[in-house]
Amino acid sequence: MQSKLMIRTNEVSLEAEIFESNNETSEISVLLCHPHPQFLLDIPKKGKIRWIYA
Amino acid sequence: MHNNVISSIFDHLIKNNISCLRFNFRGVEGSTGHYSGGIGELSDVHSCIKFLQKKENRKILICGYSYGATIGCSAVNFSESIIGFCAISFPWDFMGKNFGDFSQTDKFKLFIQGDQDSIARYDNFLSHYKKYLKPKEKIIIEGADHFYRGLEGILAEDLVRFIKKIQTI
Repeated sequence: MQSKLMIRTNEVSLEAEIFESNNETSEISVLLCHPHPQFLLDIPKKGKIRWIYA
Repeated sequence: MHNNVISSIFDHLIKNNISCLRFNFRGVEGSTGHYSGGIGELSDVHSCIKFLQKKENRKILICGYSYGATIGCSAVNFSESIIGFCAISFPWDFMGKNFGDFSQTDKFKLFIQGDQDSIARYDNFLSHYKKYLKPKEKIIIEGADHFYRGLEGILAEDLVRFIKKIQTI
């Protein structure tokens, strides 16, 4: 089952999307961590890529 | 949550019926808050791990790409339920000083690196990789720069193979 959700912490609410396997024997869940736009700006529509690194 | 690499991996995991969670760090898209220099973002990862741990006996593999590798893999020793990590284009050269040591662990590790990557620099990759304890594996994707455009599927299949392998160990 795939669904969108908000994970609420003491400080912030995190936008998330989860897929739960229907396979009872599937033990591993993968936590995926994105790059951050604070450091990386990708502009594919303009046909070029611009980088910003602090 | 619109990055080509993470989206490809997410889709491949679903196709292979492997449970997964992706999220936006604080201040990104629909997540509240502001960028906090890495400390708050590490806390975000911890919060996601705690969320996954609500299901008993769940084993968690952290997979991070670029900045997400730096922050995500830094949480590998946060809990015993975390069995290891996959780091894609870990940017040691400019973030490793602050976070590299946190990702040291004797848990499973897979490093995926493009041989044309000039951001997470390929020419320095081996020297960083050698510092990590076993068990560890590396996959070098020929022709890939930091963005993996057109190569996302290959990368995602490599990760799925790794997961299926460690499931049997």
